[in-house]
Amino acid sequence: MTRLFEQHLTADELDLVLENGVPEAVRAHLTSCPDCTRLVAADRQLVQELSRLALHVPSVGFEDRVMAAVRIPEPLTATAALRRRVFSTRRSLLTAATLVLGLLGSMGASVAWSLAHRTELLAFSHALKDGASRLVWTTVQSLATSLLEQPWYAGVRGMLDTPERLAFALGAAVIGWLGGMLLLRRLIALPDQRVAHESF
Amino acid sequence: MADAPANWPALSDQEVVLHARAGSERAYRELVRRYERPIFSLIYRMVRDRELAEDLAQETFVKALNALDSYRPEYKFSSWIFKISNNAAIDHLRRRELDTLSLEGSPHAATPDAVEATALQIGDRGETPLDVVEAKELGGEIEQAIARLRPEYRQCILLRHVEGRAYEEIAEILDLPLGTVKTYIHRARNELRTYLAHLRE
Repeated sequence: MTRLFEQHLTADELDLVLENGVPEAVRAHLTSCPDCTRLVAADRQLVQELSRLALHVPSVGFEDRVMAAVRIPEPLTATAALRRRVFSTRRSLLTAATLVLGLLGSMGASVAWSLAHRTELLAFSHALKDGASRLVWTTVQSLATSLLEQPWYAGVRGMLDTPERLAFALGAAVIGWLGGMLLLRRLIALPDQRVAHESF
Repeated sequence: MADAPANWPALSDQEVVLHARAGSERAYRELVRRYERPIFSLIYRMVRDRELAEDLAQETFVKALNALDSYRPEYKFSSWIFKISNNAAIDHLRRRELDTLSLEGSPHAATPDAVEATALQIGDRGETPLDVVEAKELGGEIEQAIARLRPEYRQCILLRHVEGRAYEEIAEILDLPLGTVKTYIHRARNELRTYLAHLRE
């Protein structure tokens, strides 16, 4: 930006100076022009004083008077709130539409692919089923084997070899479980909300 | 569900508006709390009458909050509500201009006495003794100087240097071209400097 040295500050330049964005040419002019320096100082002081003006406060009860005259809509259900959110801006509508189209497109593509590759899908599902059942059976077998090999297994089996002993052990286990549940409930219960207040 | 958020002040205006639209009374109150002082101050400085400023501020909030559905969240809520408040103040000033008499007295006055009786005294703004005391306090002189500006200069200078709004936002609030806003603010500053010159002497 070029400027004649003797030219005083324009309104835009003065604004820039007030916002502390002084161009070099203006800075040079300010060092030698007492009129503009005075103007800048006066405007700076004025702007500072204006920004320091306190906010006026409305009288007590203003908020309640406003609220008494406002029509508040009924609270929305989650679905209605979602619908409103989706339709609130063009961007949200576009995002929702893109998601829905993407979802429908991928579903359609999945159905089309499945219909075109039925045999492969059947073979894959059979293989999956066989593999899963093999895995379950092997797990059960290994668990049973490791249980039978435990040193305490024979003793426990001896304790439960009559129906009476079995019933007693089951009853003791049920009582133990219930007792544990009651204890846990007491432990996780919320503390009493009552708090002592200082009386004045 | 409607009054859910625990930390209302941390939410943006747009988020609070969404809660208000969903029927949350707390969200409406939050919007009033956020803007009651700036809106009331702006209107009060425009009309210089506390009671009237409260009425106009209330009218602004009721109008804005009852029309939240028409607010578009891609714009600043502050610009929107300042626009409504500014329109309320300017409409009132225009009405008052039509209702009141000219400074020189009524054009229909037939005699010099009638002219004098109908002439409006400068500074006669229905000020209470409280207003007079305020004028003597720090800042009161500036408030008085602002009150002497033309309404269009006044609204621009208040939005720019008291509310700290950007030029572009002021242009949007007042529906004025950007260049006009800049000119008004520049002229308003010049006039204020003149009015307040005695303080610097």
